[in-house]
Amino acid sequence: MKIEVKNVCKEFKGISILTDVNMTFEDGKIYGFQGRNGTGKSILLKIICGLYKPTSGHIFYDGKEYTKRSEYVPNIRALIEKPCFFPDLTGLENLKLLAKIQNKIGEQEILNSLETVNLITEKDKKFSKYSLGMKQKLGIAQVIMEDPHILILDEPFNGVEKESVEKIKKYLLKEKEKGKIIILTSHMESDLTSIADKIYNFDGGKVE
Amino acid sequence: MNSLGYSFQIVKQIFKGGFYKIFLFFLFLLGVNIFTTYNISNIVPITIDSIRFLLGLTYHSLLDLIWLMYQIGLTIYLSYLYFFYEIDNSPEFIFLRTDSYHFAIKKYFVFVICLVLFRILFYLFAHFVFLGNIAFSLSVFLWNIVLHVSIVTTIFICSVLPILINLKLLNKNHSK
Repeated sequence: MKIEVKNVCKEFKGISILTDVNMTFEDGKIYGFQGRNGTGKSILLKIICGLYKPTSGHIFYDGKEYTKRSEYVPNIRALIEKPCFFPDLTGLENLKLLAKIQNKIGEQEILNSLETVNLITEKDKKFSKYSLGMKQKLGIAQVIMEDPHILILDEPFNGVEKESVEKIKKYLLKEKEKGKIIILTSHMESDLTSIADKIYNFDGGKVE
Repeated sequence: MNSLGYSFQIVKQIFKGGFYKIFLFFLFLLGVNIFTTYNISNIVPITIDSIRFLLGLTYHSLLDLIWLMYQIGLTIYLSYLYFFYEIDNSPEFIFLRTDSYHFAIKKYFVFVICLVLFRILFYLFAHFVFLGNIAFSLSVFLWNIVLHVSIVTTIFICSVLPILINLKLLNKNHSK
């Protein structure tokens, strides 16, 4: 299975954000998006997820087009930009609420995901009391807890301490071996070079 | 798929987040109404009619009209906050997990249930405060519920549903 991005362009109020982007994402690989802030990395992730419609171009998954449909690529989870959870609930309660939507997993899987991102000891703290790094880790736990086939992580290591970054990277490499498609963005090249099989550079709406 | 818990949590979040801004003004207006109704100098005696408008049962003065418009405005404001909550709050968390159309329908019913419960609680509160001074009028009480549910339904059908059916039109919110 693969995701294909074909001739995707995106404009906002006449300003071009992405110009004729072509990419293919295959099973069992980690892809990195690198570039300065505002170069369209997050926009492309939203288009791939189906949250945004491209101005022109197409998104295919497993040969089926998802660009204009009101449905999303299946078995995909994402963390794009700042994670917004309910501030009055604990980290664990927030994840339980999201897990209940599909009812595919139980508490143990949620706890495992919190363990993976090094957040297990803070699981009962309210989200409003979390630091930036902890919020980011909870966002990553939200992505991995239901074992999706496609993982999309936008600047996942923002504010996360080195020890946890290494642990999450190891986890992602293990998931890659299982045949998953993983897409990461970062403005720090070092975050990507250690794990990505292919890195796309974003600059001025163009992707190389 | 169960997104009801998520929707109820949004109601709770909006209620808590906007509590001071929204409900202090609600209490202020209620206070003004009570003050003018009772007329503290006791020149004007209390009548059933003068109390009835507190419940939204009659509209016959400018104050009644302000009170009515405020309640309608509040319903519109809360509807928009509620229905568009996840658009500004990590939409990928919810929309990659559930069908957006069914989620929207369930969300609508959750809001209507909460709205009806609020109207009932408000009515009971005012009814017990003025116990013995006012008779229960089911038809007027139901009219109020129909009015507010109609407002929510109109907002839902005209502006929420078209966006949620084709969520890919969400671009309007993004500037980056």
